[in-house]
Amino acid sequence: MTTGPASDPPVRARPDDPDRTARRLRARPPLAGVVALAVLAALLGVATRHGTLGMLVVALGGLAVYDALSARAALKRVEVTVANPIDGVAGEPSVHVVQARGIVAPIELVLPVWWDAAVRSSIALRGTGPGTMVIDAPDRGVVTHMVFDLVAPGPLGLTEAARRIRVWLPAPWHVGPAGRAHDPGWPRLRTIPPGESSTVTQGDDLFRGVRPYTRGDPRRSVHWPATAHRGTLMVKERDGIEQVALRVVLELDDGGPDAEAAVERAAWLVEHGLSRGWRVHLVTAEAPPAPAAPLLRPGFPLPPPPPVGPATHTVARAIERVDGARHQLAAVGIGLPAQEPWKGLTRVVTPAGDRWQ
Amino acid sequence: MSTEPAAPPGVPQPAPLRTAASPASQALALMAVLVALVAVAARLGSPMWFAAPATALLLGIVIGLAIDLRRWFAAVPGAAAALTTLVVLSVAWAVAGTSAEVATSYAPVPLVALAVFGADWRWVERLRPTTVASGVVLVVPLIGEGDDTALLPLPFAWSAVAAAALWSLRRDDQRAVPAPVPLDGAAGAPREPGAGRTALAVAASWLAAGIVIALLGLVPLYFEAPVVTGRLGSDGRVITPGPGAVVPGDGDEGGSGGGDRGPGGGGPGDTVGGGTGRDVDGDGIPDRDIDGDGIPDVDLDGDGIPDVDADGDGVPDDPAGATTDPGGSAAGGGSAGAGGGGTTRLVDDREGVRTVLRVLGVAVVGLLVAALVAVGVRALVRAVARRRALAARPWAVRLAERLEDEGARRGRARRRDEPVTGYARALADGVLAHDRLEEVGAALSAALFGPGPPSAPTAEWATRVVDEAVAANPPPSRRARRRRR
Repeated sequence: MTTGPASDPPVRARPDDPDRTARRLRARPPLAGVVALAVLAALLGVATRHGTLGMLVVALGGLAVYDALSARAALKRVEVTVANPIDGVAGEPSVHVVQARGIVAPIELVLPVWWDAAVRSSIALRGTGPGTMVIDAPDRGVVTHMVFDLVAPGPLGLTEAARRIRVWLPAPWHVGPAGRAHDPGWPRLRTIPPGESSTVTQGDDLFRGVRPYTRGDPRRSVHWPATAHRGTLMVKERDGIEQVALRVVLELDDGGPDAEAAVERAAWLVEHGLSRGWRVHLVTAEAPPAPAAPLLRPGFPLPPPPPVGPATHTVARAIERVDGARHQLAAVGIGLPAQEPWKGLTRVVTPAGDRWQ
Repeated sequence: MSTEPAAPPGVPQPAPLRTAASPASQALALMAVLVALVAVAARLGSPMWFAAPATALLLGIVIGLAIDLRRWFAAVPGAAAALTTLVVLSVAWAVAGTSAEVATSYAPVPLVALAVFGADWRWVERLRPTTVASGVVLVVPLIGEGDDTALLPLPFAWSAVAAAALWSLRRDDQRAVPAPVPLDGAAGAPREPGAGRTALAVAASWLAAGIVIALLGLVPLYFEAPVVTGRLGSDGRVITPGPGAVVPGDGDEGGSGGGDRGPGGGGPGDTVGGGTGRDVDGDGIPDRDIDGDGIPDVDLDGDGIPDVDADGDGVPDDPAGATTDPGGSAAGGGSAGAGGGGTTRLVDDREGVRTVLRVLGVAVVGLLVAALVAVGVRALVRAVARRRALAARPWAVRLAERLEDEGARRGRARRRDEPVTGYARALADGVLAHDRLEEVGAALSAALFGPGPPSAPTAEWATRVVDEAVAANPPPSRRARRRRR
């Protein structure tokens, strides 16, 4: 079913309940046929004075009224709750638990279309028990509530009642970006000692093994006994108890596609570092979640998501899992984060371009 | 394009372009069309007008369902294909008619088109407009001339069948929408407490809606009925008008011996009403022509009721039985006027209403019976399903529940925190005294929570022990329980 942009003025939420609109009745295509048939019967009945046609008109009218009243009554006491995951990735499917109360007839939970989408998707709520549904995560951000259209078709499908509701999530849903792979031009990696000590500076205190020499290996790493044994140059491989350290600093001076691309690059850097076992710090400036937009008429496309708001505080965390990075990146706002001293590599990611520090 | 296969559960989907209709929906849509065809046949007075199109349509449906023609009808709707078929065959028939010496019947042409139309009987999106459009087929015979009594029930019958078809089609639509995956893994969505009454509520609401619609249907009949303008005749019946009907006067003035006279006879030249505008019988009321034959219908015998020409001899008869033939014995037996065809129709105005009420009564009773049957069948199906589900559970669960039931009947219910072994021990020492019942508790505990099910002989033995314990300790009678309280 497609929904185009409507020109009607939006309907405000009910004064006593800002999280849901009043119920609206809408005609479905079969109603046009029924009305046309009733009009035809009425005209012919008047012209020919046949009472049986009047009975048909009344019967059709009664069916339409019954259908409309039933559809309207079906939405009267429906309450919907949604339990969400804590984290998600923009555009990727995410499992939610949905539960409806007060259902007397099957209703449809419709995901309203966004401005850039033309097709609305729906899922049928037939019972009152909890069930899982899969929803594609929206754009990056912190989602505190979701907006749905509840649609109750009449028993005959002639009409449908609709209402828009805002469902507050039990916990904010941090929708992070998907990583954007790129070549940052890796410099020589730096390591930092574990813990709080800074006296150990090298990462070659553990002997790991030998391997054939390759061009570029330092001469002092040649392992002469192995070379004599194998008859070819062999070099030592060492490992350290230090970790390669990478700090990713995300600086957004403005919103827009470039800023989102910068966030995705930062996400990829963090993922890349974690996949190699590096110690990764992520420094961002966070903004509070956007306030709830007013509810519009059921079926009306949702307004575009609000632009990224100004950051209010700096967050610097050691990232141990990718989910943690997404969780943090979901709340990034516009602003420059404060940086602490860091002995490892620092990658500053900005919409205009990235640089190593 | 189609919903077959169904959408994955739990994933919101856009509305499909086409939804497969269930067999029930297909049957109900067909019934709506058939009811409309019944109206056509009833109006035209020939069962062939029902049998031939119904057979053609049914044949097309069977062919369409037997052979997968979805690929064709996905692009071209059955209605368009039928229309095309009709045009092509009509042209062919016309060409053949001009060239052939023997005239061929045109009847097969629309029947073939109807069969083509019926072949597209698979999708909800096609059956829904078909159901509604069949009302047009119903309307056409309703406006025809003739006796409408036989057609009175058809609008309601068609409305009921069409409503059922639309309801079923809407359910098919709803089924195509994916639902959340229940968290408890149950096959169907869980129901909230008290939801079992929904079926009864739905049936009751349908019944109430049917009654309301049926009663509302009387309104236009009353508007059309001339009861408000007619008067009671001497025999207490209401004289019904029709266009140009006679409304007799209060008394019988001019009745006895008034005699019917032809046009131009000596009556006041009334011009009131839609009849002939004359008062032939001189009763002070303008005579009206009920049957529209141009001859005023009058009351010969002065009983306040226009006389009817039952035998069609052009002489009005007395409805009470005294025929007023020319030269007959009836008082004032004058002859019919010029033209001699002065047919007078006497209709009891309330007869139509009574007919409708009778039909409605039957319909309401039928609806009630149907609703009760539906609810009963639904309850029976659920009871059977529940019994099967209960029987399908492990024997240990069933036996533990039985033990709890028997204990509760004897005044020793199982506590929420009481293990089955302790409960069996308590029963064995109390209300279900048996020396092996404690071992049954241990066997039940092992069966319920152990690594594997016990052997069949163990289950049989445990069941036998419980049977013995129950037989040896009958539950107290109601009086005993009351006395104990």
